[in-house]
Amino acid sequence: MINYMKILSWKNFLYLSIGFLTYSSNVIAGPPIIEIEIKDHLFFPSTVEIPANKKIKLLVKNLDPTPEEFESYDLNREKVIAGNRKVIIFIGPLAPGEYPFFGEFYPKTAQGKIVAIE
Amino acid sequence: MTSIRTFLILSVVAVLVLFNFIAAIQGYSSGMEKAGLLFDEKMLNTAKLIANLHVEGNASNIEHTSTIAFQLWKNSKLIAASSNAPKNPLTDFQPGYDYTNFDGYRWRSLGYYDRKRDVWILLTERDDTRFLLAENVILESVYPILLGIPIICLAIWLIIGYGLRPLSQLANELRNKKTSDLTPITTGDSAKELEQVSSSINSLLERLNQTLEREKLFTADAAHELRTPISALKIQLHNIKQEMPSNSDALKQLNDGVNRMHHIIEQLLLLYRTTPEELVRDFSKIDLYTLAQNNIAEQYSLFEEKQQNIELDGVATEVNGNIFGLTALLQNLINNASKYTPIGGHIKITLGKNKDKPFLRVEDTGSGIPAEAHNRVFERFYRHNNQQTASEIPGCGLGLTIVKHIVELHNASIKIEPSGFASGCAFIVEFNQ
Amino acid sequence: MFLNSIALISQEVLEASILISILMALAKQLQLSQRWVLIALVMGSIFAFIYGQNMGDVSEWFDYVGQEIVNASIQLLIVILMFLATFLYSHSIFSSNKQGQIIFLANAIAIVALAIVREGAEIYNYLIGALVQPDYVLTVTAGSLIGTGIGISIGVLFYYAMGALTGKKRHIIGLVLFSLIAGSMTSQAILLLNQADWLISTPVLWDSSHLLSEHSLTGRLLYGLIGYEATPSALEFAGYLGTALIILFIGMKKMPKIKCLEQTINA
Repeated sequence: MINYMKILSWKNFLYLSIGFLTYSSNVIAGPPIIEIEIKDHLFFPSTVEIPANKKIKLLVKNLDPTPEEFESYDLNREKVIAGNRKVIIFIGPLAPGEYPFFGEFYPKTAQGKIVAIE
Repeated sequence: MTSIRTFLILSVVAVLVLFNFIAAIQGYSSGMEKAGLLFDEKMLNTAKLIANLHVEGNASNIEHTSTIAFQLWKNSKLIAASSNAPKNPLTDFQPGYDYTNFDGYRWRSLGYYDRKRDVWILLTERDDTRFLLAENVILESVYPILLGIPIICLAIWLIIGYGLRPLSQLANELRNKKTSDLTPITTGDSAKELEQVSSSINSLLERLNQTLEREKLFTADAAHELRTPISALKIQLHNIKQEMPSNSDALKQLNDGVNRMHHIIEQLLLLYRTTPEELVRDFSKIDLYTLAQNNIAEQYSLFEEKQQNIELDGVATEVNGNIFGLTALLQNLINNASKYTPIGGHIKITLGKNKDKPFLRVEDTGSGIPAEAHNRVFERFYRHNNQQTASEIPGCGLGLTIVKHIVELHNASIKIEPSGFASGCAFIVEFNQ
Repeated sequence: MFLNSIALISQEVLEASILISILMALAKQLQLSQRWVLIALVMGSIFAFIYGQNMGDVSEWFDYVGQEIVNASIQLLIVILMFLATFLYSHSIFSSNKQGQIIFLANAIAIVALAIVREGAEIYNYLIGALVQPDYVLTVTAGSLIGTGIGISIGVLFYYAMGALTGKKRHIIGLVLFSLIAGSMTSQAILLLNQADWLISTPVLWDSSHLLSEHSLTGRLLYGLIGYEATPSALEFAGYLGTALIILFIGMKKMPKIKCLEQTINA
């Protein structure tokens, strides 16, 4: 099994080594968390409103037993979510506007969009 | 090395697969687009039908298929709906097509406003069933392309293989041709592209044949034309010896000169007579041990003269070879050893097998050959330490060239090592049989 | 599902097959045996299967961004190995040296196997998801076969096209493509680290999606080939450019020596 503490210290080490590039503010406060669920290859909610110009932590829960890939060309995001798992995807800061996303594995049904508003 | 055949098959199949598949994708995409338009049109017709048939009054549930859902709104009031439709509007009150999610499915939606009756028809159709239906129909035309690919690949493989057959036949014929076989090749005639190749090879073979014939004639002529005057010269010299005082210095030099010339001619003829075909033709099992014994016996006067100690060590060792060639080989090696070994020296001949390979080792207590000259000693007319030895040791520098020649014809190898004695070198011949 | 499976599979296969064909062309130029490809494919597939199966667990590492970290590490490792490959090839000190040849081939195996691990794991997850749905089995199979066919065909044609070029041209084109692939690996890694919030996000430099959408098949193939992105961020662009320049710098440095080697090979 993975030694979680050890990994955390790795992460801290990496934060230190590339410290000038990382956002130190979010380590302390943390960006707002938005939850999206995947069920029957659909996103719930399919439209997510977020504040513009702010970093957001998307918590995507896959309630289906099959894997899905969260993908968005406008957000430049791509991530596989195994069946019955959850992942975190950081997005933003985004300019106001609509950012569609979809499930790469079931793009006919799994469609949604993020709306960044001032 | 690139195989023409592999290149042709792979690149042709790759081009074929690529363009066939792209065409299939193109066909699929436009097919799906057309199907979508068709479904949309059907939805519009359904919406109009519903508007025409609508029953005024309270909201009522209407029988329907589960793949569509609809609502009838008048003055923002739901007056009729299919039982699977939710209570809120299925879609915005906007004319035109869109998508919506409810009931765990994604739906294609249509808003239709009937001006005459002032009603909104909100109609949705399950997008996945629409899509599957269209896809199933269109994919039926894609599958044959996919299934055809293995068949096409097999056909290309066979056709290219067949097309390149003249080339492989030519290669086969050349491969199987014996070195002595200089008859023209025939396969090139069947393909236009190979005509030039085969005619060039044939003219080359013919010229080679002529050259070899000339060489054979020359050797035979030279043997006759050169030996006869030398024999005459020797007889006359013998006669002069009877008449002149035997200690005449000029006579001795003349005698040596004639002997050297005789030796050179014999060696040159030997070199040219041992053409591969003639030698290989009469290969037989030969016992190197017996051959070496006879050789030593024949040349015993040499060793006696220089008070050299000669030793033959080993067992009967059979090799497949030409008796004439192997005799010349042994003679040259033993003679050389004696020549370059000082008076009272030691010569040792060892025979045996090393890992099943017969070998012959001739070593002496001579001055030896430095490593940098090892390759050069086999060159024609090369004599090691030329200036010093030429006057003292008779020879023309052809002996080891002949040895090397014979070694190669017997599929053997020769190398030079320091001898087992304090000085001198060892010649080792190893037969790959 | 059909188009989607084609796009997904062909993009992943193309990335690997272009990398393989460039490395094969280099190995051929150095007169090395091509058996290494088979070893790389088998090794890559095995590890891709293992990684794909454990994708769920990996995702939960590092506070649910394990996938990004692992993938970014793989990409960056490939970039470093590509630097090494360029160095080994262009300095060609090993054309007659057995040990150098083994290092070159081992390096090529590692690059290809690593590339396959990441891409194979994604394909594996896609297929296990799609193939459990009876409605989609036929469609997804057909799409996957077509996608694989397209990816491999482009790789094969690319390999022979490289072989058809003459020495210096082949060297330059091979090097430029190699640098673009390495650049795209770096920018993908930066994107992944952005996504995991391990790197600061930088503003988007331009938007060329109206010219060529990443969504289109061409866009996706170009993404697989040289990492085309319609909306790259400043950091991604810098990483791309920097990596590509390093490869060009390493590869161009010893041009005269390459020429010598080519002459001896052609002789």
